[in-house]
Amino acid sequence: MLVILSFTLASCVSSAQIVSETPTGGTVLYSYFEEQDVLTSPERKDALRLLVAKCPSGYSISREGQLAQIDKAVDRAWMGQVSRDGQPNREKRWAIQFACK
Amino acid sequence: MRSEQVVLAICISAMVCLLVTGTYATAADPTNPSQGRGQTVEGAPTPSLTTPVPDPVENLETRLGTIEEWKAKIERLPSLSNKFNIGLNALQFLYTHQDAHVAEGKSQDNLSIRRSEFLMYGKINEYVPRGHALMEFQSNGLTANTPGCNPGTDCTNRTQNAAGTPTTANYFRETYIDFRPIPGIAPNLNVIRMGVFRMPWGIFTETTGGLRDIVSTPFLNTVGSGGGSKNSTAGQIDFLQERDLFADVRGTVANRLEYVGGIMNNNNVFSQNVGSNGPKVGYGRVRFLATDISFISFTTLQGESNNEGTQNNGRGKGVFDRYGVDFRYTSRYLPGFMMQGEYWQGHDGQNQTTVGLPAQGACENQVQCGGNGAPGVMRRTWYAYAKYYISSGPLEKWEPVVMYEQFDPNTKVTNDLYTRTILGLNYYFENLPPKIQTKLSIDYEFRHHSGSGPGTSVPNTDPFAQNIFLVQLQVRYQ
Repeated sequence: MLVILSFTLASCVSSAQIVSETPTGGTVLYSYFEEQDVLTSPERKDALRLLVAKCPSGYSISREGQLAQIDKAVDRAWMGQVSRDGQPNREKRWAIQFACK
Repeated sequence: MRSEQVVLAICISAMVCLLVTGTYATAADPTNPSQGRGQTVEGAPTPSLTTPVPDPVENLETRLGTIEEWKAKIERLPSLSNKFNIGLNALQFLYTHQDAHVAEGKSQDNLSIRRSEFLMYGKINEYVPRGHALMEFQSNGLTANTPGCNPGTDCTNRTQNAAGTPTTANYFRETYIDFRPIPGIAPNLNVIRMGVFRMPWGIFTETTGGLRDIVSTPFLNTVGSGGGSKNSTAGQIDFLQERDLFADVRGTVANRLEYVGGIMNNNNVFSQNVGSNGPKVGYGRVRFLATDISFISFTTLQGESNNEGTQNNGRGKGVFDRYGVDFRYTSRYLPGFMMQGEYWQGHDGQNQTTVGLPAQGACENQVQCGGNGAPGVMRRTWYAYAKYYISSGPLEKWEPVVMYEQFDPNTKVTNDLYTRTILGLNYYFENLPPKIQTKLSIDYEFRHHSGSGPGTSVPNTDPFAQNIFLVQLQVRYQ
């Protein structure tokens, strides 16, 4: 029962989300694990789908890049402390800042 | 002989020529300003003195970004992060002062090396993504075995049944192999891990000493001192051993659900030398990741334990189980704030013993079976703590920590609680590439131990009833 509940909850979590939004743009965020997945992962496709939904007549990306896990200073101090499975967390976050046309 | 002299003369001449030519070449160095106007150099014009010099503060962000990028690249060098890594997992120097009374001639102040751990790990290929070996080089002592009783004798009589003898020391604290059978389905089925390592039960047990936020070991791992009592409330109790010999399967589903399921000896790291404690014990954990840095998990251990041959204090003969819930919340709204907690309860079989004292079987007659002669017992423990890393201002790099924990050795008995409140302060020294972390931890623990049951009290020598002050300096490379 517990496992089923956990699976259900896990499947409800979206991999990409708009974290800040204005009438003409915003920032969308998605997670990835390997460097080579930044541009090809399904999560990025989800993020781009969100952009299309937000901007039906098109959009332009003004800036994108990797985000700190928590905060640059905190990440540096806690190196490896924010861990899972006894290993440092491998999950990273990528943000896309966009503007609608 | 003559030809050798000729060769020697030619060599000396050649060296003199080279020396003279080199001197001349140096003298003709066009970049040397002392050579006068005769030497003109063509090329890019010298920048005019009126050319504006970039303000170093103006592009500070760019420069810091470049340094960060460089640091990240250095950390990714194969020799530092991939095939083979070697370094200190933790080197900790500890000072403690405890109010507990000690014998005449002994001190309440203690200097020690808490940990001196040497770590090697690396990735071989996609099928063996990690091999890991950790050795501890503090002054290890020998751990006693836990013998049974000779038939027909008084198990409590130390002439007829001597206490355990020093048997084993473990320098190899951890060593395991991760085997990934089908890389194509990782991380859904990520690895099969085999060896001896920190067990995946809750958070503290799995966290290496170098990454913990308080100096002391939590009650859920070990609590109490001395021998046992007839109601299972006294003596040392290793409720959850930190390490064991095991094989398990680990994976992640939908990036949000981690699972572990495995089987172990249930006899701490020492079963390498003294053998398995009894029938194997199975364990499993599911962890739901609410975000990539916050989670809640559920763990269970199920099986049977033994008192003879055990290397875990407080274990009896019979049914053994543990149930645990843990959580960690790491805030992005208040960067630097983190809190976590664990709640555990579980059953230890009949006639628990302390490592080194003879015990055999599940009976409650101590003459016949040794041990503490108690019936099976339910134990319960929980803790919660919070910390906040200050990343700017005059207190930058300091981190206050507050923790409260409680251990109930027998849920059916009153006046037996262990409680502790810890006020701590950590200071993180400058982090250096590739991965060096130096940390100072200062803790004060308000300790309380009610007793060993109704109407009892604890002596002033009980270290779990007396406050303690700890200072620890740590270097960690991984």
